[in-house]
Amino acid sequence: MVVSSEEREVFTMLFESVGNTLPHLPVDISRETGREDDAYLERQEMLETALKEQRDDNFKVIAGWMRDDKRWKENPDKIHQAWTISLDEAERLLAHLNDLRIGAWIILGKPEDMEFEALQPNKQRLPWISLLFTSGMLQEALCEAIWEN
Amino acid sequence: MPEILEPVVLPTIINETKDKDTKEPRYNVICWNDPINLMTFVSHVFRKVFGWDQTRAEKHMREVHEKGKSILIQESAEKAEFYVHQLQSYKLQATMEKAE
Repeated sequence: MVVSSEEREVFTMLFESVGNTLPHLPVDISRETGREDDAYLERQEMLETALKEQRDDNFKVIAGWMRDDKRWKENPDKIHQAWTISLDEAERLLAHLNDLRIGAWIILGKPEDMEFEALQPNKQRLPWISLLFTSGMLQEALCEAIWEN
Repeated sequence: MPEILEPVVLPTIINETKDKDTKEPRYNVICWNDPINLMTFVSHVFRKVFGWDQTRAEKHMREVHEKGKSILIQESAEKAEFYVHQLQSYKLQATMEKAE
């Protein structure tokens, strides 16, 4: 990713602000319909906790990459900087972006129609819609970059 | 008296041939459409999990998108289960069913 110094700061702060939303973001757990026995529910709750912890841990690691000056290389134009991550790290970031996107989608009520107007934008929903689209855009860019390398 | 040798009866070797019914059953790995996973991401996952090139991955991605599902591969039960878990780890909707 190549950005200017100002954009680098904005992008980093934007990503870090997502960290504030994590406690509110659900994870996608497939639940068997009709199962309400205590043992099953307890296992599902443990699974959900484990997935949330994994997601939160991913976030901290990735946020650390963004704040790591060694990962930012100055371009010859001396205006822009390139953020460098390995292919494995890119996969991790891709998975994390997908988690954020799915979490936002769940909060929005798992809509089938993903057009902006159909998502019923209002003051409460707009931050989640924004997260949905932003993480999606970054996912697409990352997928392209991974296979170009 | 000369020694009488007992006849040696050699065991009969039966060549076991499995007929169609006793062969290991094959399973289809199916990916289902969903409203949340991006087409680009789905192609990416197919390439990562199966090692496909872009053309093949996009062909199956379009099938998922346009027809609601795509049969990605046919394998033994064990391998099919492995692939389903791999796809599900990427949050794709994947199942397996016995092939006809």
